[in-house]
Amino acid sequence: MARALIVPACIALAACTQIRVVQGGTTAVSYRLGVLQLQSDPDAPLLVAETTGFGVVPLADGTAVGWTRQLLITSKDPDRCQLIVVIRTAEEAAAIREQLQKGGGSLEHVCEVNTHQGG
Amino acid sequence: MDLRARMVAVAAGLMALTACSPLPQAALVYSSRVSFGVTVTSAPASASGPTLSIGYDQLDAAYVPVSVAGANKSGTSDLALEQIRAKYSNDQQPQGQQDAANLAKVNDYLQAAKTADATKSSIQALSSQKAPIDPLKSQVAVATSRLSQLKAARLDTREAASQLQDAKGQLVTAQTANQAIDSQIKQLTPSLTVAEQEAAAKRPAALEAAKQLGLVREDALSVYGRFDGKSDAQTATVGLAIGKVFSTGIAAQSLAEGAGRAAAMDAYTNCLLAAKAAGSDGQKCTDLSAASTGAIR
Repeated sequence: MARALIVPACIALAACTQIRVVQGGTTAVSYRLGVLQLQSDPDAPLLVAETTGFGVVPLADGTAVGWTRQLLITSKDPDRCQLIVVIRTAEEAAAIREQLQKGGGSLEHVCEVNTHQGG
Repeated sequence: MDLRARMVAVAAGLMALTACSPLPQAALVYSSRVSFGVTVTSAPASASGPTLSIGYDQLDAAYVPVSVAGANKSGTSDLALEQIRAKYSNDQQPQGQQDAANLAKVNDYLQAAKTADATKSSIQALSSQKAPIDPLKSQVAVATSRLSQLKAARLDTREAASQLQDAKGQLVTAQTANQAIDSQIKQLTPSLTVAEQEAAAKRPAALEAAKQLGLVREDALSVYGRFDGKSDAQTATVGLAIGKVFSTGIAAQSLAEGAGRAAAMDAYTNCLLAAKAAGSDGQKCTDLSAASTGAIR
């Protein structure tokens, strides 16, 4: 009886989820209703997924009921992305590059992810 | 099969499966989450298992793989753990080429310094070979005086004249030898100047190269992230660190060092401006800046 109530309740709570997937420099935004399950591409060298939802929202490591925003970045290729820089503006990216160079760091194998414009 | 036997069978099956399972080839994962409501998570970093949060919950985390299971080099079927490391330096060349280039710069400077030292030693050796002229001049003066006294007394002056002649001969010989040495020193002096200038010119590059040889940075893979959403052009300054910043591994090292250097440069600029306003040459600023750079290194 309880199980029969939980499933419709979850579906009713999962009003809307926005999913923004950034891969290979392109951004795809989609809206989904209902209970979702997010599965990342296992072959993607660098994947950025931003999930914003109200209701039952799937998370990478669990589930949330309420309002949730999650940014998830995965890198399968350590040779390509030894340092992942998550920034929001081009100016910030330039500042980070400058700071890294001042600190003796290399810009090689650095992957920048602009969460506002895409990777 | 009763319940007890089934449980034993299941446990044995699980143990067997556990023994066969390979280590996960984990990816680098960066996660930033904000939730209002009820959240159930099982974060890999949580040792206590699943976590239930009610109300406001926030998590900023990077799960960085530090090792990976790979084929065993000994040829056995056992998996070997290999560390995942990131190497960083300020050069785009491979590390071996960088080391060779840096070593060449250091050796180049050492060779130039050695040449300058050798030239300097030659000049010092030649200088030490110069005969002292003043005693010989005194000897000539004494012999001249004695000859004059003998002439005034109308005595035999042949011995005194001979002694004066000998003294003058010794003085001329010494002066000629010294002139030859001075000539050699004069020839070597430009070489010394060139060698010292060359060594001085190569020294900064050699010092930097020597530092680079000791600055092969190695750390785990890393992530840098900002979360506060306040992004404007001001981030191009030292104020980059203002706000909520997340940084791990080599990124933390490089960014902290970069911020430190930028702060030192700002302090140096301000010091120079203050010195200029006060009519000073700013040498103290340079000394302080050098000391501060050394401290950062």
